[in-house]
Order: sequence, then C-alpha cells, then structure tokens
Amino acid sequence: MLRKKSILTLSLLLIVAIVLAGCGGETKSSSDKRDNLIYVFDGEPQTLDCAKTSDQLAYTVVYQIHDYLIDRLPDGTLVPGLAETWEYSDDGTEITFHIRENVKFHNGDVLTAEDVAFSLNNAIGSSQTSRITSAMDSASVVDENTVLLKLKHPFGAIEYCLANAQMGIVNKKAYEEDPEAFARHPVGTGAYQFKEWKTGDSITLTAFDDYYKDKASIENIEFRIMLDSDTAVMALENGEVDFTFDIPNTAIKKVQENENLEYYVTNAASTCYVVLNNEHEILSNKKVRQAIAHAIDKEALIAGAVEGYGVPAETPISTTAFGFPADFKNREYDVEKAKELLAEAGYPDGFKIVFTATETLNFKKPGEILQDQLGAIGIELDIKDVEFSVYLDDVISGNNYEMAVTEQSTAYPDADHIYSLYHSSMIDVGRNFINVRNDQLDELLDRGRVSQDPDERIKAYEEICELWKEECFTVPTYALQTDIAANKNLKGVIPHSPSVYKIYHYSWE
Amino acid sequence: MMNVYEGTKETGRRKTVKRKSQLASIWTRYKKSQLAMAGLFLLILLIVIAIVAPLLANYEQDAIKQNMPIRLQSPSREHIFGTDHYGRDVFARIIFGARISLSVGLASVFISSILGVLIGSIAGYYGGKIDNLLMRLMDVLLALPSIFLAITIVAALGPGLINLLIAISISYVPRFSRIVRSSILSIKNQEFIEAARSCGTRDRRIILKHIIPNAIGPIIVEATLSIARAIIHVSSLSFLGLGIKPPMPEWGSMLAEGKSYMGSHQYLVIIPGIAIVMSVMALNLIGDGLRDALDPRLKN
Repeated sequence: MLRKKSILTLSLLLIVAIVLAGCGGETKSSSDKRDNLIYVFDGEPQTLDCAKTSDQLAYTVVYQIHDYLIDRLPDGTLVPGLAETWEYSDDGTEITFHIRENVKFHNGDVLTAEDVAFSLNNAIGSSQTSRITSAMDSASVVDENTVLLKLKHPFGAIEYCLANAQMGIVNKKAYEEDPEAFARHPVGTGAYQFKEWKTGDSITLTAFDDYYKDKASIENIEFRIMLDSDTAVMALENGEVDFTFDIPNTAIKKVQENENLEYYVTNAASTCYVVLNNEHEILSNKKVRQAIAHAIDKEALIAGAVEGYGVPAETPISTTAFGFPADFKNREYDVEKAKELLAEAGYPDGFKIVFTATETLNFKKPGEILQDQLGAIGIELDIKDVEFSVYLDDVISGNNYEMAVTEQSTAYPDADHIYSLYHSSMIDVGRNFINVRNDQLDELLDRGRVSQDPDERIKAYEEICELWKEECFTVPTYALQTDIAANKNLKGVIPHSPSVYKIYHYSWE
Repeated sequence: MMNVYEGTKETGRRKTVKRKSQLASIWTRYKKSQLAMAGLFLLILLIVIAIVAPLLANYEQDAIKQNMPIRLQSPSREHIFGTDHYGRDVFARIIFGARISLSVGLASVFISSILGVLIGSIAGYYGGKIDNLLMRLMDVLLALPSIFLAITIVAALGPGLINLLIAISISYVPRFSRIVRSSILSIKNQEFIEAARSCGTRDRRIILKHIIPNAIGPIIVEATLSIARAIIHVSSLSFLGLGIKPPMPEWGSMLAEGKSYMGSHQYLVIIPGIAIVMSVMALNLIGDGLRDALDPRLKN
C-alpha cells in the first residue's frame, strides 16, 4: 500500500516538475534579449570565395563577412563603403577610390590599397563574375590609400556592380597563402567574422569586435542547412529558426497567418525562363524554338509552379530595370501554331529531349508542367533530377545540357544585365550558357551598353525584344516576387529586389 | 481455389489427392481467422480495382493531363478524391497508382524469391565451401538495411521503373535465401531424401521435386510479407524522388507532392497515405494468416 502511494506521489511530483520546467523556459526566452540569429538555407554554398560564388546562398554569407568599396543599403541606395570618396575621369573610363583608413581585417591586418586592388583584379579575373565585371579592365595601386579602376568603356551601372556580393574586399595575404583554404574560411573586414563551416549542417559567424563601424547588434549568426524547404518552413513556424527568404509558395499563406512571424514581400529583380541550349542539334533550329515558345502556357505555369505568385514575363529584361519595354508582347500561347512550326522544322512527330532539373521545387515543378505542355506538341521531356551543385556545374558553368529552367537575378537595375548572358563573347568567359551566337544581338547589346543617349539605349533594347520574339533564344516565363519570413521580433528587415540581406542592420527587439 | 483441386481429384493419382487435402486443410485453417480473411478481401478488392482501372478513368486524360483551372479542388461529385496541384484527378491517379505499386511489389518479390530460393537451396543442399561463399555474400547484402541498399542501387542505376524493380529485387534476395537454406538444412537429412538419393535421383530433381515443395510454407509467408514491404519501399523511394519518374502516378510520389499542401489541402496526403496503408495492411494480414495456417504443428 505504502509503495503504491509513494509511486503516486513521485509521479505527481514529476508532472509538477515538468510543468514548472515548461513555464521556466518560456519566461526565460521572453525576458532575455537574444544574441543569435538562425538563418535557414535550402542548399549549401559550394564556396565562400566571393569572386567564385554564383548562388544566392553564398552571396548571403559573403555579404556578412566582407565589405565593399560601395555599400548597398537595405533600401537599395548606394553609400560609401570602404571607399570614403571616389571620382571619375573626364571620359568616364577611370575611377579613383580613396580608401578608408584604419580598417581592420578579421585576422588583425590593416586594410591597404594593395588588398583592394588585389580583390578587384581577382574578381575581374574570375569566370563567375562576368555579369558585373565585363565592363571593368583592371585595378592598380596609386598610393597607400588610393586605388585606380580602369573601365573598358563608360558604364552607368558600375557603382551597383561594385556593391555586388562578388566584389568583396578580401585579405590578400590570407587569400594568396592558400586560395582553397580561403574558400572554406574567408577573411574580410565585414561586420561578422567566419567561425565554422560544418559541411551539410551549418555555417556560423560571430560579430567582429574591431569593425570600423559600431559592432553588430546580433552577436552570432548560424546559417542552418535544411535541404527540404517544407521542413525549413515548419522549423520557422515552430520558432526553431528565425529567418528565411524565398519561401515555398505553397507555404506563403501559412506564414502570413502565423502571428509569430512577419512576412515581407517585394517584386524580385529576377526573371524565370526556359533555357534552350542554342547549340543543341535540334534546338539550334529557330523554328523548333519558336514552336516551344508557342507551346508554353505561362498562366498555367504560374498557377502550377509558383501558386500564382508571379507575373508573366514577355522579355528577358527584368521588370525593375531601366530599358524594360513595358508594352512589349512576345509570342502567344497557341498549340496549333506550335505544331505547325514543329512540322515545318521537320519534326512533325516531335522528339525526345533531356530536361535538367533539381529537387528544388522552383525547378522541379516547372519541369513537370513543361513536360505536360510540350508533350501536347509531341516533344517528350525526359526529366533528369540532379543535385543543385550538379545543376550548377552542368547548366550554368558547363554549358552541358539540352533544356532546363533557371531564375536569373540581376546585379544592377539596368537592361544591360542581359549582356553577360547573351553576348557571344560571353560563351567561354561568361555566363552565356545558352550558347547564343547572333551578330545582330551582339551589335544591339554593344550599342545599349556603350551609348550615352538614353533614348538610343531604350530603342536598342526594344529592338532586342523584337529579335527575341523572332529568334526565341530563350523563353521568358515569369517574374517572381522575392520574400522573407522572419521572426516578428527581428527588426530592421527590408525585402530587397536583388536580395541583398545584411544582418548588420538587424536587431532583436 | 477449391474447384481446381476437386478437378484434379478425378485424375485419381494418389499424390495429387494428398496435396489437395493438405491445401484444403490449410484453407480451412486460414478461413478461421477473420482478420486474415479481411486482408484477403482487401487485396482482392485492390487487385480488381487495378485491373478495371481503365474502365473507371482515362489514364491520359484524368491521371496524366494537367488542367490548371481545376487545380486543388476538394473532393466533390465529379472528383471524388479531389484534384491535385496540377488539376489531375486524384482518384484516377490512385487507381492507376495501384497498378504500379502492386505490380512492382509482385514482380520484385517474384524475382527475388526465385533468386533467393535458388541460392538458398544450392547453399543448403551442397553445404561446405559453396554454402560458405554464397551465405557470406548474402550476409554482406543483409548487413545493409534493404531500403538503404535499394537507394544505393537506384542511385547507381538512375531512377525509373525497371531500375526500381531491379533494386528492390536484389535487396530482398538475402532474406529468401536464408529462409530456404535453413529449411533445407532441416529437410536434407530426412529419410525420404536419403531414399531418393539411394534410388539415384539427380541433385536437381531432389532439390526441385522433394526439397523445395517441403520448404514452401515459410517461402510463401515471407513472400507475402515481402510484397507489403516492397510496396512501402517503392513508395519511400518515389517519395525521395528516386523511384517512378513523373508524371506516372505512384502513391509515394503523390504523397511527396502533396506534402507541401499539407497545411491547406490535407486530402492530398491523406488519400495516398490510406492507399499505401490499406495495401500493406492487407498483405500483412494475409501473411500472418498464412503463417498460422501453414504451421505444421497445427491440425484441424
């Protein structure tokens, strides 16, 4: 009898203890100010060597670690960064930067003009950076605190380019000692210094004590890698993590309704399009590409792939860019016409083609829908699911694919952003993985880039769109929104169209 | 089932008569378990649905063709299981999915049981070095969990229906070979085998005609349970994107696709989930029933 009683008492005590422990935890979390931020990544960066980065996740990490000559604020404005002042030469092809003094690197070194010139030249020499560096020629040291950047031609968007993630100022000594090791452990002057990278798990940073501005408000950042975006959203909803961007469209409603989260959205400076390898034996046929353009129902694609959160795109030029022709209409959805064109091209029964996709829903769903839509005109898509890093290797850097979809973000708000993607000179050195070689297009892109007359430039880009309609180098499908879901106590978050997120500006309430 | 054996009875051959009575008694014992009967009923229902699927829905139009304007409609009269995120009829996809799940399950177990029985009986009958070699090989395969082994094989061969079949078949072979080997070890020294051997019967005939029929009970039970496991494995692999390629309807991939709509359209995960659970449960109930019915210690 006694035994039974004591067991009962013990279990009651245990219950009380558990309940109390639960209460304790709650009160603690609300009173203490948090000093860490957990950021969710749905993939893993391949490298943290900023000149070699090529995806949004890696950009997000290097933005925290490095500073830039010119700094881009969360609202999009440009302000002096490591360059206190700068002036242009009369013809606009040379810029002299006066470097801020007494700025320290994470390893204790003091920033010199040497480091700046090295970083710029290193970025200019990288094959990943052509979309922002194609106008830059070289950088040289003038004196201890002055750097001269030579341009190939005057270029209006140059300041945006210099504020881009890939142009981070790195520590020359650390980089030259071992570039491979640097890519896993970058050294910059930024608000946060690198701490640890556990492959497949997380990347952690801590606030830099000797930062040249005030120390960051949030002490520790963890970029937690969660490959499944649904799991990531669930973790966000449960409060396990604090911040994620580009939320899966199926989860937007849930996030909006969750009272512990804040949802931020703005138009993205990126366009999604169907990539056709212009050198593929069948796709090199203009009529085939036209047929594909007619067979794609953008409205259905937007409904099925992004839950309706997108606007149809008619041109390759980003809607937020200067030179975007708002009234332009591309080829309409017309299955009969598509079939005719395909028959004229010599493929009345269609053909089979490999479509490279990744498990990420942004690529997987458009693939499945295109499989259905193109199937209607006899083009059979064989969907090859690969890992994101393989996709980057095969499609973006290797030019080794047949068909795919991609999402292209723009580094600066000017129609010239398409130059590095479609100019024939960019096939080997740049990002023209579509393998477009078209003299007329080259000429128009050059004119749009070099001309100083806004009207002439607008006209050049209009002509490019007309040419696009005729040639269908790629099929633009939709423009996306870019969004952030964050813990509602996190302040200072501003959604940003080129997705530049700097945690330095954030703080806990 | 009964009719077939009544028919053979008329031939009057003693052997068939004897086997008939054994099967009949198994059936009588099987019938006693209501759960096992429920399992059998469910399985027959599923098989019938899979067979008559084309009469109930149009594969191309309902299960494959996308129709965005009617996407994500909750179950209604026109679409009794609703429509998915591409506007495809979930009911049509479920019944055509039954064809894939059941046929991959049956086919892979058929292949793996034949291979397994072959390997197991050779190892068990000959013993010695052959036994050691084959069984250590099986141990290597058995050391890896079968789902993991299947994932590895699919990763090496690439996704697709045939590769999936190969992967699952290979990963199930060791279980069969172990079961067969152990039954053979207990049978091979019994008098009737000795009698056959002393008559000069060849090894092949002894294995096929005398040993395997006597070891068939555990093989059948294992096969039934393996089909259930195979269905789960096909679904799991498809869920992970390693199984059936889109747009083929498969329960596991339907579950994976529905997962992101779990918050708003629960039926997209519940329905394929129920389909998987039902078929697996049916096979497990049958397997349990058979195990009891085939137990030689139980008499009517």
